Amino acid sequence: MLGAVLASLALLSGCADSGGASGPSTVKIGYQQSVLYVPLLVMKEKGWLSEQVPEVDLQWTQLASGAALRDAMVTGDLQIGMIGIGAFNVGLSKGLDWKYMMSNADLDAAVMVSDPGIKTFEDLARSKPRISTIAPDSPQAFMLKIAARQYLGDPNALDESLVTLDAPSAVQALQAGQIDADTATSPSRYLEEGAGAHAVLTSNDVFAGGLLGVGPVAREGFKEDNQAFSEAFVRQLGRAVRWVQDNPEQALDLVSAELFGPNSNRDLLLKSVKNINWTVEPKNVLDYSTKSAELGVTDRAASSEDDMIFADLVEIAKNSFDSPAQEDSK
Amino acid sequence: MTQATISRRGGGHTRPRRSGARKGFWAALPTPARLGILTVVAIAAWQLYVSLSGVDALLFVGPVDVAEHLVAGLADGTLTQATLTTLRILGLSFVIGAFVAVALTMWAMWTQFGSDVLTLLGATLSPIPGLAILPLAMLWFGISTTSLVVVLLNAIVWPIAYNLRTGIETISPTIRAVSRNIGLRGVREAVAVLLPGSLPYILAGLRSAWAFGWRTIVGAELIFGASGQGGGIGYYLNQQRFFLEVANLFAGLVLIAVVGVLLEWLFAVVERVTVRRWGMQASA
Repeated sequence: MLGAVLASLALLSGCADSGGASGPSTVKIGYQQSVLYVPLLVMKEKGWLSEQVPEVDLQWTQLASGAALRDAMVTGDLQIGMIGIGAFNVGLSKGLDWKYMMSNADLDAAVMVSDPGIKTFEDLARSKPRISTIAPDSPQAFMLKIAARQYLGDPNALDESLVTLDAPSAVQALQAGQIDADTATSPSRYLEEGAGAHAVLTSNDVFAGGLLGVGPVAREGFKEDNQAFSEAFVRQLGRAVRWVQDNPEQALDLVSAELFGPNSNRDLLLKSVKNINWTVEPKNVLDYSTKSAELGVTDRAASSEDDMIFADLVEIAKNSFDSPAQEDSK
Repeated sequence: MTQATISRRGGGHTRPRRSGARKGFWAALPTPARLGILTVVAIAAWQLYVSLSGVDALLFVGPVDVAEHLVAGLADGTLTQATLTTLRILGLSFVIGAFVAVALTMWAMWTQFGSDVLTLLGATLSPIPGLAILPLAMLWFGISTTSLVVVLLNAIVWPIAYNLRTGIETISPTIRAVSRNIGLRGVREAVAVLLPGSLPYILAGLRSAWAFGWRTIVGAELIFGASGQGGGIGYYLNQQRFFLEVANLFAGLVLIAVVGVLLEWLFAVVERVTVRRWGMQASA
């Protein structure tokens, strides 16, 4: 009985429109609430993509986590998901036929501690800490594993220290002394910094040269069936990423209310937007996949970068990012 | 709120039949056989769907896969440890919750002020879902077992207190008058008359509290859990979800259902060897 009920639900959930050879009539795009999605919202608010594909009904959906976005893409409820490298890599290792269309921004995580006596990552590890991460499959959690291997000689040294908390709860918990450290991204890391916390490790210490933070992901079938739409999407998002880099204040004014509500802390968000490394180039994705398989986080690694990115789309996004339209430069 | 209404007999759940109605083939089968057949049919339908539909393995897995992962999880200790952690927290909360519920109810039975306090607290706190309290509990008590216990107490105290109160109120006034005449007062009256006299209702309250508590703790653990081996079964489910281990996710759900059934069975056994044997069964 249970099987039949669950089967019916699974069938129902798999009935979403996934496009076709003549182009999609509807495309659902998923994202989360974070400064990393400012370019996506800029593209939406300025109507750049809808101008290029007027025949497509674009639907925008905000979900709570990378895992939720991934689940929605598995069921076919979303055609494009703005997904972080952690959730993406887990899906890939499980055989999900998806790839990054481009990057959107580099990861900007930092391990923040409030105790001024803790100066280094090793100090933190010695204190038998409680450290929060946003999700067990997040690059922040993986960053701790890599750092534990690098600095402590054991990648699993901090496994027992991790607590899963959403960003606002983690900020609160760090201030209240309920946790010792938070692997925070923008704007939480700046909020915590403002409250007296300091960083003992950043993602750049662990992933030299940067790591893809978030980017649009599509399943291979969708991209193959909708090449023209996919190209238009990355061209316009690449344009938006560049525009955000060049015009952080205007970008924030444009999307802040929709993305963060009317009472958001503008100074904090602006600091975040200015400090994020906006880029369309997916960085170190193969290295991430290889290391996560080595450390047992995933079952298998991608065999090459081609398994992880649509190289032709990345190239289009790069061109768009490198050659901003004249009207965008004004 | 479930009140003490247990009137099932002999462990069966058959519908009452009109006198003289003929017993059909299905109804003539013993309860274990009927439930066994239904289970086998459901599992067969589940496996058939997975084998024939070509459903994505990231969405749905068959019972064979689930059984394999369930056995593996129990053998390597991950599922066993998670379940024991959850049961340990629930057990601790249950003991504290039962003590609080009995104390509150006795106070309510002995004084009007206590009665008003129980009525007010119950009316205002019992409708609040346990999980709604969790954010506040985390704020006050941190990322700790204490927060889970606090959330569980709200799920556990009220079913026990309400049922105990009803049970005491249904004790014959004559019995209570006799107990007072022979000098039983306070704690002695509670231990000798009130608690034994309301045992069917206490069991019903414990059963409801267990059901509320079990659902609440699994939900709470989905929101936060201690890391590594410190997390319970809800935390385990969340981990499997994040890592797309769908077979393990199903295995966790099956285990939750099995533990639920086993504890229900345990309550049924306790009921059979106590209130039913002693002829104390409460009527609806």
